[in-house]
Amino acid sequence: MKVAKMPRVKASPKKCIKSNLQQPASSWVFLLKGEALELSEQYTGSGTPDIVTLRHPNTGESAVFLFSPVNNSVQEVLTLNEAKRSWFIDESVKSDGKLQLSTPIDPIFLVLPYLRKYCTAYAQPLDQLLRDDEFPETERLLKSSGLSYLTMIADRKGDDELNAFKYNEEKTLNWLKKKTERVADILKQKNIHVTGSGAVSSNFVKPAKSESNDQDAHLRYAHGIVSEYLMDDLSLKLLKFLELPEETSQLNLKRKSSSSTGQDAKKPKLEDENRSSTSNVLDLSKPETKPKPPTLTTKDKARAKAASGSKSISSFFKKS
Amino acid sequence: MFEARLVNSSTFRKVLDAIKDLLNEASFDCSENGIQLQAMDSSHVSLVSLNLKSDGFDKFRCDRNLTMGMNLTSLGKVFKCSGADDTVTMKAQDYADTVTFMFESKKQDKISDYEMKLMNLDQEHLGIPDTEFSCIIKMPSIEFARIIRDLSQFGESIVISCTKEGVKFSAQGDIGTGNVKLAQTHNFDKEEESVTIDLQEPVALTFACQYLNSFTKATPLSNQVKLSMCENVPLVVEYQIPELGHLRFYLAPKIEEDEN
Repeated sequence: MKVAKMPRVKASPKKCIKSNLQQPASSWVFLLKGEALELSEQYTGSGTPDIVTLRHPNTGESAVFLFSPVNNSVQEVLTLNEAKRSWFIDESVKSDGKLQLSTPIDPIFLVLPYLRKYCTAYAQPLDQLLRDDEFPETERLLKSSGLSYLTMIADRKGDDELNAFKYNEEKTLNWLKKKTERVADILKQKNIHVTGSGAVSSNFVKPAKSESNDQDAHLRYAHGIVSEYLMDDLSLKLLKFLELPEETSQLNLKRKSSSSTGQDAKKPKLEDENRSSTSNVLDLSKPETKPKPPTLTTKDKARAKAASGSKSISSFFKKS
Repeated sequence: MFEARLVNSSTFRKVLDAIKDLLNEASFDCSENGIQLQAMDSSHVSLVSLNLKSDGFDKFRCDRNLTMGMNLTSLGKVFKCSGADDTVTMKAQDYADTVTFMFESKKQDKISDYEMKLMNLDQEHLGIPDTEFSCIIKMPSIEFARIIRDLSQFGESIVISCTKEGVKFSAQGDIGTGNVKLAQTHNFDKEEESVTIDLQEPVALTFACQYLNSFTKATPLSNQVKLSMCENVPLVVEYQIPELGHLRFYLAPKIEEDEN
């Protein structure tokens, strides 16, 4: 039940429930995507995936991740916990009803906070960058295959051998935009209800008109999902980059349930206000009352209704 | 320096009443030829074109072409402060950001002046081509206002069809239909009460009632109204302002939906 409710889309995992009957006390129920267990033929080491802690890209706290045996792919581990649940494993009962789930994650998300922190001004070799005393396992990210796409968010500097990179925000936003749009597409494909307000009957057919709204809502929701892997300030930048209005973003804030984002969200607005007031001072041409944004009175609305079905008058006359 | 003096301020007040129903704000373009105004309503279906000739004013001086953007609601407030037979003088400096209205009472014993802030309005000017109209109807403006008001009760749009027999206004809606037919009449004693039709070919066009109703707010300006129609061209409703110029409304016809 819980799994179905999660607003996440992933390839259906091959169910290989690992149960270790010898030590039932320290066993978990773990849903794992098959490829994490598969070994390439050249590989000769111990063949189990490793569970490690790394810095979470959103919170900066420790979080559990899973490395495949050859380190080439990273998966994040999610725990679903329901208080009143136990598992039956063969002949025994396991009282810990937690369900561990792992899904592949793009390692670039994990590298991004390091890049943003250390490589904005100068390029740094990747192996130095990913040395985190608190989380020594971070180095293993170097071997993950996804990291070859690091040029999507950073510029390579110097020799190829040096493997040094400098953070590039423009590239990053473009890359995140693509990610977000892909998530939005999937949300749409799977017909996931994303408009925040209230429940909607599953057989409610939306009028075709609301499609553009819909697109925005999907994008906004997708942004919320992607933001779970981004630092808050970057998430806000992405929101701007996607050209989604900020004020109606409670949905995302709710998803993220972090109080600090609320304050952050206000900051750029204040800046905007300041900017507009200063530019007004500098504007020497007739600084008198600016034309107000057109507010629609009831009269205007009635007229707009009466106007429907008529061509625009400007289509008859040439602009001079 | 711009200065325009009009002994009869009520004329200007009537012009204002006629256009402020359609427009919230407008630019008055002043040149040595007079004052012009051209603006579309908020839905961009109708166009208001006002022309006040300089020699119609009692005094007119305009050294430099000047565009004054005004909020018509505010302008209405200023004119509400004037008496019925006051003389009005409009004044503005070159490149000014305010305009001053001075009202003098008939006996010159009371002078009030009001300064109003101007606005920056970016408005596009449309070139209006000369059109050979299929038919031109002249009729008493009060009669036109009455017909539009009556037929507005029946439907949202009015069909104006003109044949050599006369002109027919018709509307239909939920409660039924209404038709008003006018034949040509000549009244030589009272020219302003006659209905004349200058017809090249029959034409029938549909228009939104609400706009026509707004146009009839100009009725006090003139005894006669001139309607010019042609297929696929906006209707022109013209009110002459005696000695001063004219006020024209252009309205795009409705796209016929009956066939669907």
